[in-house]
Amino acid sequence: MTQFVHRIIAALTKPTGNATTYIQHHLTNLCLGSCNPITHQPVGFFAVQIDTIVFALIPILVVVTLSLWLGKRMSSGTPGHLQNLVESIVEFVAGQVNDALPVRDPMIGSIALTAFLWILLMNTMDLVPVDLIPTIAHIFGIPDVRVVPTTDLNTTFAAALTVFALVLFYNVKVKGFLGYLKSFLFHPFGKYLVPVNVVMTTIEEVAKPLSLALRLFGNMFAGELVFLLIALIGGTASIGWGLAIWLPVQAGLDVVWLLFHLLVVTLQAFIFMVLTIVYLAMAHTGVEGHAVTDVSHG
Amino acid sequence: MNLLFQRSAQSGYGTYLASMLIAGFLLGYGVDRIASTTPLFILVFTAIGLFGGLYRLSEMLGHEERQEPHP
Repeated sequence: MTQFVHRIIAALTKPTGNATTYIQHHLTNLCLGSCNPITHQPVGFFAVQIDTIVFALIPILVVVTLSLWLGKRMSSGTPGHLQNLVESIVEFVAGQVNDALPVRDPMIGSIALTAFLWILLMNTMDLVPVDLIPTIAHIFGIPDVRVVPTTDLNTTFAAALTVFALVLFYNVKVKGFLGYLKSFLFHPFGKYLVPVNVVMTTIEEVAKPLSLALRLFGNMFAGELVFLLIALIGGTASIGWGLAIWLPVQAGLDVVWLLFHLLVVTLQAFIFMVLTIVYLAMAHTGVEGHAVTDVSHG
Repeated sequence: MNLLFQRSAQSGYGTYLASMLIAGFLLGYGVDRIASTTPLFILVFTAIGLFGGLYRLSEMLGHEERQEPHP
């Protein structure tokens, strides 16, 4: 017991080094497998970043448990607060899907809902104070923890590549394999520039998952980094009367950035869902379909 | 198509240009690795990505200009 108390005190008062090591420490994942033993960065293919997986699974568990719990208590009369919330989210997503899709496909609705809820909840981990979970983990002897799964490029690329696979699947399902290949031939510049058309359409297809993954990663990583920089304001000030100035500055900036980041968190999850729907809707239009492509291309 | 949906899809136009450029580079890099012609296809595909991205962007933005003229 006393040993545990000592560890808590050590974790709370541990020297954090300078600003660079503080930020580097917070941007390092808990790596398992083929990792560099000094920098803890993954070096091979078989490196698993445990914290990303764990903190990405927690939102799923929350949603699944809540849904199961709520599913038994659904009422067709006056709904409770939670049922109201869940119903409004489902109706909101269903409305977006029905507006954009030319066909009714219940699978796409659930894909969109999953993408929205999961990414929203993963992004929301960004609103947990940056030092809280790493400090708690340090008490239990875990050296590095990175809380927000979407600040890890692996997560965003996994999500984007899943969407890409779905886009390919629906393209082949709707147009047929040859029909899909035919859409590569004549698309932007007509029939006289077929090689350029093939290259450009291929680039466009590859650009879809890239832009999905990089937008989400970029926004969340930048947000996390700004939180870290704000945390450094008070952290690097020396103990003394200077803190009377710097701590209120830090708290004020933190609140402002938190409020702004609430918007970013929701918006990025929503944009990811919208683009998923748009790409899947584009897969459902014909080769010359312009009805949906007008708002496409994130 | 409601406005929120449309605006969210449009908010990605900037990233679209960058992604086309990166995708062109990556495809060129892959082709060059296979054919061992190292600088050739990286340059060609990146150029196609850049100009293709600009072309598609102007196409999409031009379409919106025509659809909803500014007051």
